[in-house]
Amino acid sequence: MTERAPRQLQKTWMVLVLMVLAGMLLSLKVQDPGTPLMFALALLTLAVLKARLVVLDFLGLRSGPRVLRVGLIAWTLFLAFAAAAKALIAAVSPVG
Amino acid sequence: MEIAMTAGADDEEEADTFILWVLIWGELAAFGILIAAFLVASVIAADDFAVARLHLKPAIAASNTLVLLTSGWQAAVAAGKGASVARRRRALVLAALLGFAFVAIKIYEYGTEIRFAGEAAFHSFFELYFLLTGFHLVHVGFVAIVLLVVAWRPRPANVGLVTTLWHVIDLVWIVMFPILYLV
Repeated sequence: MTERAPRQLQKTWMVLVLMVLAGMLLSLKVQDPGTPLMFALALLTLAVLKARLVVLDFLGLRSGPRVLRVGLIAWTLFLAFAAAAKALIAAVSPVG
Repeated sequence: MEIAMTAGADDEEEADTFILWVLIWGELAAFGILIAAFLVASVIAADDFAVARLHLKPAIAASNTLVLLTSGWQAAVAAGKGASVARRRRALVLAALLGFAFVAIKIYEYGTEIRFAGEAAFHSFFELYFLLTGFHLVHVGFVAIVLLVVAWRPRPANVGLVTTLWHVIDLVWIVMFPILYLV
């Protein structure tokens, strides 16, 4: 959709990989029953940031149509907020 | 005459892009509804969902995220305006092969999970889990084949269309992964 330099794409990919690795480290902590909500929110934030990078750099919408950029990021945010609400409900009324 | 033909080609390309985005928003609506259904069901049957989730393999799924993101990177390289035909082709083939790797890893993962799906308490969880991930998997497999077809004759317009769809499939997985496996 827009001009994307290979070097910029490689940089974006490396940042995405680091985010996935950070998520993998965090997910090990999710098993800890004392602090699941905080880690759940951190994992969802990472997901939104990854999605944002894919939209802006891989899809090339950083300078593309605003309506598509905002719409795609809003779609990810809506589902992330819904998942955060679910995690909050689970934290208020713990399993078992 | 030549100007008219160029204008016609531009109009056609614009129409193709419009139809693609209509299709993409239809897909995002479908995935959004399924993910929302999963979230609602996981609130209603919180205990069963929490136990069923322990049978999933988030490490395998996270590895698959890396595979799909790397594939997305190659797809973006292929869609770069300055890319030569050879570079476009190589990047599309790599993106497709990584797509097939995603499918293979996911099928292996299913093999480790399927035996738990028969347990009565986990029915709702695994029905939604297999529906969501299966629907996504079919998209990955199908569009990976299309990437290979486009790689054969990588016209910039076609490369732009197929890689846009590929990135949206990537986007769906990025959102779906933490919701199904972790949160």
